[in-house]
Amino acid sequence: MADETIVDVLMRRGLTRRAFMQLCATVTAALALSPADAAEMTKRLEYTPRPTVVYLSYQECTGCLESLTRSFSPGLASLIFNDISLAFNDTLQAAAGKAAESAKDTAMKDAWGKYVLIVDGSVPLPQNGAYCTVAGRSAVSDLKHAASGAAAVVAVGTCAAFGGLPYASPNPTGAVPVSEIVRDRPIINVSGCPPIAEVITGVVIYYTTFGLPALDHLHRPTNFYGNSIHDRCYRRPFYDRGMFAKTFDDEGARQGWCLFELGCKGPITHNACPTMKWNGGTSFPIESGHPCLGCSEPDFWDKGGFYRPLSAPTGHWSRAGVIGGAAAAGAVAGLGVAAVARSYQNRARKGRPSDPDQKNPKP
Amino acid sequence: MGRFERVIPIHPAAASCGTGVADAMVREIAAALARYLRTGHSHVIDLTGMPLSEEDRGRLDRHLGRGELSMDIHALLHTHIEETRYAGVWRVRHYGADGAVQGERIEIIDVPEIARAATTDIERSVQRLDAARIEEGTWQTKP
Repeated sequence: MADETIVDVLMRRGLTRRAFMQLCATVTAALALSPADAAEMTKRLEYTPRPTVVYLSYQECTGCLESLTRSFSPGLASLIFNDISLAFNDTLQAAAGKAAESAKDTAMKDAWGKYVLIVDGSVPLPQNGAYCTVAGRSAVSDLKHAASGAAAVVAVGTCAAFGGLPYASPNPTGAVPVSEIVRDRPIINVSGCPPIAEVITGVVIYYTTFGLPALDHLHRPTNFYGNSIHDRCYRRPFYDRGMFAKTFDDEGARQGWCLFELGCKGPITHNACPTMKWNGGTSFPIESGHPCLGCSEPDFWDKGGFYRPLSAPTGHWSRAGVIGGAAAAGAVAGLGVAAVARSYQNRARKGRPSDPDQKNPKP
Repeated sequence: MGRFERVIPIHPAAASCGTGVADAMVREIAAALARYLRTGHSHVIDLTGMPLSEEDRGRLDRHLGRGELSMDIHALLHTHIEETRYAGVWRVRHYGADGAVQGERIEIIDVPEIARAATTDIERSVQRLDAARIEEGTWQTKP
């Protein structure tokens, strides 16, 4: 059973190879693979065993799972994920109590050493992890056990990837990201609050067929997190021309100008929102007239306010300098903005009553 | 007074102009079709992730037009295959349950791969026909 392939599962359901090819065509399109890689993926998926996925939730709000289960049309990604791969998820399953715990043990035992472990939420360390327990067991010991049998760990959501909201100052529970606890398994961070559903499923399928994807310095897959929101933003031409909305109801906002001065974190945020979009490809926040919050970056809660422009309070650069530089220097301007923003964030962090970097205990 | 005036008009800047992608794509198709004729190497252009504006899409549709043959596959998804006015150039679209396009590609090949009956499926059909014949046979021998 564990060696069953995706083709076998489809055939068992009375579907033909055409269904498999439909699956491959849409998955490879979602992953933005080149035609050659797409053909290779089709070839490999035919023979590789279906992935087993164990999904564990700790300090989280279930927003990531909501994103995963609700935003795509039933059929495709949900088929791969829920029906073919997902062996355990305590929120989705009907079982509760001891039955649920034994289902988890069975799922992990059956695929020990081979399953993909998805972790949702951060994990608190103080008081032996007492701030988050499931079935009388602390999240930290549960995670260590589950990770020891995993082939790879996918940290879904900014809480699991970078600590997220629980980690935000003053971090009352001493929460840490998964990477602070699991050190001997490959970790793929799929950040976002929540991440795009197709990115979560895409990463699992990619890992199954090709192994670890290329990762950036924050362990995020570069095929989804390689570009900044700013670089792919359809409002970028307005930024380059220095045309900014100053308030949410002025002429610029109505004309769809750049939201940089309303606090958009697009220049320092890496994610696939402008290309993959949300709610089945409907739109993304900037398209709805709201600046990017930067939710897929570390410490996005503590960056000094969602509606404060990145360049505003530094004093090092005049605003005209930043904006004029953008118009003159094009793509390079993004880097400048990011540098300005980082200097501001560092100051903001120093000015805070407690510094999360010092407050969070390192195991 | 009041209600009508208070509606804030929003005029997002529409991408009304062509980006040149469609023209580049037509050149790519022409080169790929010529190569297919020469070497038999098929070619796929995935449109799903392409930044096509409405104008680009319109240009491409007008240029490729419709050919003689179209096919529909009802499997996991609904797939509509359409030959363009150029023999060997196909448009393949996969639709989800809600009718949204989940994947769209242009294929340069004699018949799109997905339309062919796979050997494994043919084998299973042979088994099923055999099984049906045997069942039928036993039914006929019954008094």
